[in-house]
Amino acid sequence: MHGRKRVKPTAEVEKLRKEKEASKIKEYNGIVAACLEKKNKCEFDNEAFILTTKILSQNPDFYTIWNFRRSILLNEISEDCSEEEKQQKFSSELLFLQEVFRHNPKSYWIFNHRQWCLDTMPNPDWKSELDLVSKMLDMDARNFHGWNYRRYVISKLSCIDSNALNLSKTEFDFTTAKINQNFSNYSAWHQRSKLLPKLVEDEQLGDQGKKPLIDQEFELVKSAFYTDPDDQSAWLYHWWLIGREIRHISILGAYYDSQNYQIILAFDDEIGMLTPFQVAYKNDTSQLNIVEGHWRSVSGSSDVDRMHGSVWIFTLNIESGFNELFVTVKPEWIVPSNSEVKLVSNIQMHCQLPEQNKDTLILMPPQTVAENTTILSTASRFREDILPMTMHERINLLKREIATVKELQEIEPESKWCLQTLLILLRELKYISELNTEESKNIDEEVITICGQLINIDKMRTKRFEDLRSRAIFETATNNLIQVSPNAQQEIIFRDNRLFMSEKSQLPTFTLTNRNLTIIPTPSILLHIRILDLSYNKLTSTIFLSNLIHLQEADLRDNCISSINGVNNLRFLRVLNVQSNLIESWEAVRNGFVKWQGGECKVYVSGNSFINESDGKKLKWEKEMDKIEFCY
Amino acid sequence: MTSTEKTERPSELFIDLHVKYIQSLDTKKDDLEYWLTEHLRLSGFGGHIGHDPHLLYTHYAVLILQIEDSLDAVNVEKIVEYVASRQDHQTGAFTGDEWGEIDSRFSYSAISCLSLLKRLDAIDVKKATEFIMLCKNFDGGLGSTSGAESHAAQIFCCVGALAIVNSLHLVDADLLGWWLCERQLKNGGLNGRPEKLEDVCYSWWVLSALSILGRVHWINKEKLTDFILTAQDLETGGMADRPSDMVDVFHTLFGLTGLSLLGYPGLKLVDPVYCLPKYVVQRVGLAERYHAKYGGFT
Repeated sequence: MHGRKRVKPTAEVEKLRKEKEASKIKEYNGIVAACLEKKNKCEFDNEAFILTTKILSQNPDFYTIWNFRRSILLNEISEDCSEEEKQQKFSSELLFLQEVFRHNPKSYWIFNHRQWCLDTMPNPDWKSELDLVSKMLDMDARNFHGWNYRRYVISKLSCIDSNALNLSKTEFDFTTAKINQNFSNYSAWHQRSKLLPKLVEDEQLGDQGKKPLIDQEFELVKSAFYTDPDDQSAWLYHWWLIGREIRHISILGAYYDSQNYQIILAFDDEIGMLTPFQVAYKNDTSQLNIVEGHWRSVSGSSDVDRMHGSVWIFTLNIESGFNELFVTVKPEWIVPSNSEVKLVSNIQMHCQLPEQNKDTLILMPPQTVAENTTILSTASRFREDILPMTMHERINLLKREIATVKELQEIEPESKWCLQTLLILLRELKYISELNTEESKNIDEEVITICGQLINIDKMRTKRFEDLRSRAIFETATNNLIQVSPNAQQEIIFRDNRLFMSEKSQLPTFTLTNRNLTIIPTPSILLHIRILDLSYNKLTSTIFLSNLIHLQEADLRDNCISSINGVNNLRFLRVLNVQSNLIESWEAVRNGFVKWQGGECKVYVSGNSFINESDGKKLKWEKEMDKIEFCY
Repeated sequence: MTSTEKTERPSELFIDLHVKYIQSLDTKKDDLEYWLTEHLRLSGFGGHIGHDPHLLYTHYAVLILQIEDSLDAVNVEKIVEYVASRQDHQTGAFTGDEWGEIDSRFSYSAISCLSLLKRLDAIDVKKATEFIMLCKNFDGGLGSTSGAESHAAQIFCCVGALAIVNSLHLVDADLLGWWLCERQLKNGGLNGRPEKLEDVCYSWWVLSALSILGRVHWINKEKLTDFILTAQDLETGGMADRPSDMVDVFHTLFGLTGLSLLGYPGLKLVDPVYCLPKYVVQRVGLAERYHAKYGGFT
């Protein structure tokens, strides 16, 4: 009952209403019963037809009656009925529908029936349908039934109209008119996003011809958001117009652990494994032979979780006998975490095993296999669907739009859409261009500042901006952990020999405290960290720890963690500090250690509300978990 | 709390009152409204006795049967056969009934229904998924068919269906999550499309999708909770689309399921994919299917 005002009638009025309705109910139920009886007896006569008219005029959502009405119509036209008579019958049916529609502009069944009529009648007049739907959209410019119906009519017209080219143009002009009537008509902007690529294609414009069209588009959208910077319709379209490059998944690094006969592989994003990556060795005749073993991700505990993750371990079935090992990963073997990222080329990792195992960890640098490389390069082309451009042109476009939005932002410093758009443009610029560390750092700093502004301006969506800011802060802070290797793949500096040290002062350490971090977006970057300090942040979960398989000490004091998970498989973990978090029960701690694989570990828990729970429970669990020592 | 203490802007949920309201729905045979909404009351797999079969009502029937744990009362094989027969083999889409209307809502109904019957093998899941992906738009959202504008209710259907068939990687969770969280308006309520009015039913459509994508925290939960609570009718029970409008059972359901996703105390947890109580989904044995921590921040 959308938009019907609540009225609280007096008992007297209510009584009168019920009396009045009583006769209507009787009449309505009588008609329905008579109609359904005819339906059951398959009496497709005129009397039945009149009954359906009466019911549907009152209740157009009664789909069974529409169905019956269609059966009656089909029955009538199947008898000796000339084309003209058929046409006449359906024409009056369309008039009836128009009448019903007037009172119920949002009923699915009315549009459904109208389409059926047009699809069934001998000579549907699509042009007049187009006029009709234009009128509907004059009445309510956002009615999505209306827009859906318009697309249906256009698809029919384009089948019969040889001049389909013109149709893209006239429809495009229709959206222009709608947008000029009201810039906030998102339905029209949406439709435009479907029409623009078509228009470009139909008109067969060369790159030079496309440019004025697209420039004009940027002008239109600019005047829209200058008119009302708070209206999201134009901003969302602007964002589409600029577009975004698919992000590439990289292997951050890999190594062979000769002590445990394992290969460890880290991606910079979560992936799902469809086909196990190939592990092989070369025999004397230089032929590749498959090494048996099994892959699993380090995250999660269930079998389903084990096939998703960013850090993967391959355990060899056979323990020795190889001089060198090869690992191959192909794009078709993985499922990316979302539709905007992908692995673009085959990657191979290789290592030589020393005759005597003096090193336990041996690096396996990832290399892109050359034949199907489509790595981002200066030769890349962007926005092929509307205006193909080179990397250089792309960077200029982004810089131009950044300047445009910044200009508006000076006038409207509180406009959240200005700031959000800057975030998008800056990140896109950072991703596509080969920036030096300084430029990249400057963009990150700007993103962090803008997120801070948005947190203050847009109180409804604070948490989203905190997540975005965390990502930028984390990326800046981990910049020095990553290097771009000569083969254009990003790679963790596993070469960092601190990985192999045991002196505490030299252990790989990562510290990022007091920065309002809410998430750790790419925990696999921290794979080789042994001492971690993320205290005084706003982290809500410890699940990311499962990726840090070398971790010995973790300081997560003063965060917003409510339970412990992701630590069961951290074999080297000796100290976990979760003091002053939001843990409310012993279960929330204990459940994190149920399948504990490590040795003795101290867990600092004071400053959490569960500490006040009864001591009996605590003592029981302390006994159960002899390796875990709770410290207060 | 006595009725005199109930203010114009209620700040708590009056559970007993809503239970009474829902119980009263079948006693209103002297209201014309009762008879005009007859198609919404179920018995069988049409909307009502004597109504034609339809995929939507078949789905609703299965939901109710699972809540009542009484699948053995029906011929499951027949239901499976009916649902599977609604798939177009060429496009993978589902028609609502024999008259051929196509909509991504029907794809969700078919997939949810068959997964609750553990018979997804009866349809071409790959093709069904391909059809859903044709409905995807530039803003990350999805519409009713290819080319149709993104709409929060269709997004729930499409994302729910993708979650069931383990294909959430086909959406861009960051982008769609952004579009969804921008549905929240200053008064705390959610709309279903940009620059439209708020409505309690979107508390379910938007929130369920955000929940599946692991991003419920991207909206302001307190403000939305307050908005839903103000849509209660403290005299008759039930909830309306927005404060001071007429209540109905549709908005009462989505107000309550929305509050459940927001963690409102005193309510059973609802499953964001099936719109069933979580304990029912667990009893059926489907709970873990889509909980791979995929794409989400959780």
